Amino acid sequence: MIKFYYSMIVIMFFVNFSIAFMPYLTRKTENFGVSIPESAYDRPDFKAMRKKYSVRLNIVNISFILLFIAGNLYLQENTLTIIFSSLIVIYLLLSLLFYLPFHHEMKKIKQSEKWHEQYNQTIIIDPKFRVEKLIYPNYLYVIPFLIVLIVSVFTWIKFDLIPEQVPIHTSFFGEVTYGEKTFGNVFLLPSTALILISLFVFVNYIIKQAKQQISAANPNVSRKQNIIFRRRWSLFLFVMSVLLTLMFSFLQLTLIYQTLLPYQEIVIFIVVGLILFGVILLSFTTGQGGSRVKLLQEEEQQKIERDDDRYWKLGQFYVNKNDPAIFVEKRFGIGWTNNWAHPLSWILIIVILGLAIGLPIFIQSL
Amino acid sequence: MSILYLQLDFESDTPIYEQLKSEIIIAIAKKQLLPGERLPSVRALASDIGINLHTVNKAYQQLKQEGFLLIHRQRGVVVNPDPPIIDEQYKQQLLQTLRPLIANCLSRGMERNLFLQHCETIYTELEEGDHND
Repeated sequence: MIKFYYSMIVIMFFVNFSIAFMPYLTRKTENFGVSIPESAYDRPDFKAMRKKYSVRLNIVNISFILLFIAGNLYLQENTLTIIFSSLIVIYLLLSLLFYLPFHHEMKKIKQSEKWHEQYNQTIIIDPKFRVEKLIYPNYLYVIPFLIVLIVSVFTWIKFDLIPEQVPIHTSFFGEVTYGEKTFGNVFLLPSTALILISLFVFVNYIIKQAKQQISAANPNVSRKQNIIFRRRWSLFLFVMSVLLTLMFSFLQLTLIYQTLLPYQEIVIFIVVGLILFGVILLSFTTGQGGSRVKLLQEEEQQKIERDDDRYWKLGQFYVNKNDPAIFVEKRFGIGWTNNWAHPLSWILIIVILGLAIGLPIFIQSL
Repeated sequence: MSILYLQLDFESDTPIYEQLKSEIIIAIAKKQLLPGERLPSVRALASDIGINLHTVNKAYQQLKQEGFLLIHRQRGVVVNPDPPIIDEQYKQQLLQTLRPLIANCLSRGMERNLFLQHCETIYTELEEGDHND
């Protein structure tokens, strides 16, 4: 039980890491969801804003963790799970609450600074960008796919060794729910792995397709950074898919060989730990759009990207019906988001949600 | 090797499709785009720039009509391996474009040599193309 208690603290730290330091990870052409000239990024007042946001969320995180530790001394496990989930939700709400005033302040500053009138608003693109190797190829995913296939065939061969009751759900505290030894329940893990692998292939495709964003002030550097950014996340995605597949395979084998059960927790802990650590490491070394990748700087041009702030609702949601792009880089975050004015964005989100909810139910009914 | 960038100025009075056309013709002149080389599809280019499909389509269609590009159903958009030639029609068109331009210079009092010098510089710059970028 104690391990699950620790893993919750780890998760709180991870959530905090990926949110509280966000102002430092964005492109240098943005501050709190408002586009700025790159040269303005290091202004003292902007630095102070980033620091304030970060410090506030870190204080919240530390007090929440203390609260959680205190709760652990007095409260029941079930109550603790509820408290834990609410703390995470409250944390997310607070992060938005801290973000919004800074976003509005930035908008005001921008209005008075009139940057977009001083600089030349340009868009620069490389028409041969997509000839470059932007991602690791999708055929690599044959490897995790084969692993799942082998494990599934093996399960089929050893079907008789599997006990009549199989675990189908594990709670946060390690309480296991058992179900009948049906076909669906036995193959629940391999099919989940398959869904995950397909999802990763799709994300890899998004990384390739996402809009090209080259800074007008330093095109050569930002172009290279953008390519490195895509390659690194694509590679990470592949490594993650193999790690998760191996983890699922191991869990599947515990159905057949119960002697492996004691190692289950440590395997999960290592795999999930590695992935979370990888996300943090990659975010901090690469930054959004590769902005933290150190490259030989070039002479800065007196140019600024076309001002598209009005299409970024709250500086977070991109809604531009004149832009045929579906996937664009996030403004205040790491990774990509959708152009919500594109109907396909909504269709995709509905299909993915539907599959995520529907498929496990369907498989278990087999 | 230098990288080919297409640059569009969103505050200019020149429409975006005109700018896009000029940028592509300059790239062809500079041999940054070689005969037979592929260009992104209308959708891909419009998505990367973040503009309407029609704008890119208009530029591509006009370039096709002028003989700079070929638009295949399967192979997509490619630079025409047989670049357009200087025929009588083009000569007429060129003179028509130059006449008001030179008139403008002359009425501002620009000397003939200075104008020719500018032409010379631009010619050299485009011919050197790739190396000078």
